[in-house]
Amino acid sequence: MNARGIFLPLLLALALLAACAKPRNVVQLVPDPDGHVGVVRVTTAAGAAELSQAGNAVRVADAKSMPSPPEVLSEAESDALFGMAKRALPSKPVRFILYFENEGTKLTPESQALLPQVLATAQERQSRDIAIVGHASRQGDESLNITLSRRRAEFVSRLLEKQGLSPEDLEITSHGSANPLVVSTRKNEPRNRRVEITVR
Amino acid sequence: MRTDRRQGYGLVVLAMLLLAFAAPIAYAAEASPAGSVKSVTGQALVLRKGAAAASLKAGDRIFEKDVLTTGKASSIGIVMRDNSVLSLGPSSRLVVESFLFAPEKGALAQVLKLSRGSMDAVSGEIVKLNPEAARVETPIYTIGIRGTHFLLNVEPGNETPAEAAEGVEVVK
Repeated sequence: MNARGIFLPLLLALALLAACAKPRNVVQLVPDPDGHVGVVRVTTAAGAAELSQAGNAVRVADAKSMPSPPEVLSEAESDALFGMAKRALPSKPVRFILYFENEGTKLTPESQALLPQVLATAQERQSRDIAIVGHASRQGDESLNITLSRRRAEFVSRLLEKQGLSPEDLEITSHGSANPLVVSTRKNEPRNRRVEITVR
Repeated sequence: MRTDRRQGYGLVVLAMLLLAFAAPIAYAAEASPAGSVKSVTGQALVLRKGAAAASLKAGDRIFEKDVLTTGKASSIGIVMRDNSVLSLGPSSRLVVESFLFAPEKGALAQVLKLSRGSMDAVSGEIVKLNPEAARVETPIYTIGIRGTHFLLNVEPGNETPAEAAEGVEVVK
């Protein structure tokens, strides 16, 4: 009873000491928001270690030491090290694609109907950084396509401004037919007549 | 007639002044941002060459070569142009060493340097298109990224003295 009473705190103290002695330069791999797990490679002057399992981490003592073999990092230590950064991580930007009728700046009815959702997303995210990128299909003269893609982006920008978004937060670019969404034998491929909106 | 002429000179002077001021503005507008600030808790600063340290707030643009620092109990969230997202925890210092995102020209680069503190990052289009183009450097290790979501930290004391001196604590 008595021996046990001493042993347990001693063990705890030792565990704590061991935890303190562990290097606190840590790299941890975690799942993406969509559950997918990637791969990162941690390299020092002495060598490299690869992380490919969710929750695993390596520790690095200094620039001349090998990274430790991957180990599972406790949630408590992960939170102690990264808690504030984790809570500040922005959610992934949201992308919308609006399509146009042939040769002009008239939105298809389906894309017109999508506008309230674009607006709601911008407001919900309190976005101050919205990219509006205009595109045209390959049909016709490229100099006209460049103008058309620009006009489409400006048209969408004006629509969003009218709905109350600030022009300062909207960034317009246009690509003519240079960045098709789909490679198609059809010169006037409808899926390439579009404006892409990224709400950051 | 005379007054006309004076007005003429005035206009020329005005035009020259406008040109002199407009040129640097036009230049600044050409440098496209690397990203924008999504959120700030506590205090975060940006140090830019030729400018005094400035507080960051949501909506501010981030550029290549910017040095970002956070204060105690502070954090910052950033969305980059390739839709990668990242955040810094307290007492951190990050340099946007290089950032290029022009996929149509094959120009891709994202090199971030964390010299102290903690960071959370989810990679974006650059890593998807060319993983070799992206890495995170620290004074003691480098991270190569094949995707996508990772956390890292670097204890203070590994950065150079000059880097250590930069930040919220010294800019009052």
